[in-house]
Amino acid sequence: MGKEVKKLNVESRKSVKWSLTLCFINFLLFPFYSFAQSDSGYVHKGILSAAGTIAIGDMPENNLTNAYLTGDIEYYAEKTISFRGDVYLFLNSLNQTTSLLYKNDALYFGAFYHIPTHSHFDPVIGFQPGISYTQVLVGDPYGGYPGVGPDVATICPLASGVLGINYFAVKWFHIEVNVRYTIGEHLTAADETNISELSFNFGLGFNFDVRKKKK
Amino acid sequence: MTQTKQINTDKISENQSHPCHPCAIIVAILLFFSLSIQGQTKKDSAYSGQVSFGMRNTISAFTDAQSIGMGAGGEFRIRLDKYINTEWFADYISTDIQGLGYRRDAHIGWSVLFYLSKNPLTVGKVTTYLIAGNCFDYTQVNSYWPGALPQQRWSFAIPGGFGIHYNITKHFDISLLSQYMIHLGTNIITSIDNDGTEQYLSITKGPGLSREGHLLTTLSVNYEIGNLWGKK
Repeated sequence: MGKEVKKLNVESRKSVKWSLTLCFINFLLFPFYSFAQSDSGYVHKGILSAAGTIAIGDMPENNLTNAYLTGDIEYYAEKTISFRGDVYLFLNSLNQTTSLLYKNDALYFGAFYHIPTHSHFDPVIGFQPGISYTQVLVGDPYGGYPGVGPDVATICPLASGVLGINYFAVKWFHIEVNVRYTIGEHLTAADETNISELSFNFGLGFNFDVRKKKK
Repeated sequence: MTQTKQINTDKISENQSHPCHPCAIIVAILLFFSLSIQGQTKKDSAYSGQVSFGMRNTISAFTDAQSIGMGAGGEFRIRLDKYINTEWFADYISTDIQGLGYRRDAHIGWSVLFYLSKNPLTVGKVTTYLIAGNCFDYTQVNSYWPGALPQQRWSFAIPGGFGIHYNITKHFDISLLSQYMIHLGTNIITSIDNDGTEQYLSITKGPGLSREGHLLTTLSVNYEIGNLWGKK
């Protein structure tokens, strides 16, 4: 009986995940079948933007859900190409019963391709290598002491891919939603932890036009 | 009873023959490089000075115990000719050694790119190239077994291989590069030992120099930010 309930729970979780994935894909495709004929003119070369967001990340291998305070700075070198640097500040894991991470701050930098839509929507695909400053909680390997304590902090190289969408509602502001998959591994003498993570962030950004205007 | 499985096969101390001296390789690269520059036409020199900046991820394979590592880094390129570019890079790579230890590598170096395509870096087309260069490295190998001390070394390396650029716009390209990097430095030998109950990674420093190599596959995005000595 218990096993059946567990199986049902797992299946319902899977279906929720699939629904959310489909919902996000639909959200990404939305700009392509709406407002396709109007060019906002807000997405152009020379935009410098800064955004602050909140991110939620899922580490399936460790069964962890983490919360981050994030920010990014982006410059549009062309209408379709931009450079973006992201900072992720680890707040805490949401599963307090399976606490594993003590620190997991990350920095990313890379390039984004902006799919032209001629609308207020700006879908993006990005590639951002990065590094994380990670510290995990470990138990005494000899079992001499109960409980866990923080291991040494270390810098881990990261690879990440981003799918997202910006909405340029007015000249100075935009709303952004991103889904990022990060690959990385925390390695120290005491522990090896896979820190690969699927994260989702949403926030508000400010835009400035830094192009030299022709007189 | 201790059963030892030797992983690192690079033992210069046992095999003192040097089929290809590193200095000879460097001289050959520089010679080829200088001949190529001499052969350039005036029209081709219009490409010289283009500077691009990029970020990269690297997968390192066939290191200790056939483990695979992953790294992050950056690069910039200074183009010398229509068919010759230079790449200056830095990478930080970490590798898990079969759950028994880990290894960290820091690479900093430069490479020369020889374009094989007729019109390199054309929008919407693949540009193929050969690459060779020099690299300086710091390596640290650690074992999870408390009895093994971590070992570190500085080494000199020669990477060589081939790659492709794909230009999405005139100034922006995605590049995929595969190169084999041969390290010449202190001989760090890793082996998986067994004390009868469990396996562990032992690390020792061997005599002489080692000629250890690994295959690096790099994915990068690059943007041309301008011309170093102005457009001609």
